[in-house]
Amino acid sequence: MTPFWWVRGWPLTVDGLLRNADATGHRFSRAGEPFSAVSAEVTVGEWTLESILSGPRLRTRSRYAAVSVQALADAGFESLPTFLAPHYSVTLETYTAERAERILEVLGDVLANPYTSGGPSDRTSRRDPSR
Amino acid sequence: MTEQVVVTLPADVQHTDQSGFVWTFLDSAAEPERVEVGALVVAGDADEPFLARVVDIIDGPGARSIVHLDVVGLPEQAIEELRHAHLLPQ
Repeated sequence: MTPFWWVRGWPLTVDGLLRNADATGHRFSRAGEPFSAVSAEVTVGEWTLESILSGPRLRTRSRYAAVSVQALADAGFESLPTFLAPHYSVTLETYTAERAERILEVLGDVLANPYTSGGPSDRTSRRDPSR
Repeated sequence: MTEQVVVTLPADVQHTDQSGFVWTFLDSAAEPERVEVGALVVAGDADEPFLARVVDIIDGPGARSIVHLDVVGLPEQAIEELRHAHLLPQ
């Protein structure tokens, strides 16, 4: 069975993930509590890794990381389909830098997006892809 | 020395809602008066900004306004096209 991939573009940093989760939590709630969750896209239905990376949003990201939804679950993260496909949210039950750092660990290597508009740029190659 | 990129509207390009558009809070903009429906803005963050069209501005929780953005592309693409059209120096 083909695994579902959870795909997240830059910023792949603790601050970037927490900013995302913080904004979500200020707008949405779940079971009466702020819904602190990190947005990403998942290879569901007709959506493939290629179509997500070359789509209107991710093609603006020169870097991305991807992990199977199962690996996220194994690491203790709940992944929920939210809003319109292929949008998914990974919840941060405890809103801490440690949890965000753990997501980054599970995501693994930061990769170059081959579909970035105009191809890889000098700007990208000059940047330090480290976290 | 490279000038610091100034993003008109901080946003996360994967932050979409039920509209299918990217959303962000208007009060995250340093100059919110630049953000109006139909405007083309530089959004995202200084590290990897993107160009977007402001689709609408709606009421959000806590009297905060929410901006929906339609992602247009990368700033470099617009610059290249404007140069091609001789609307910017070659």
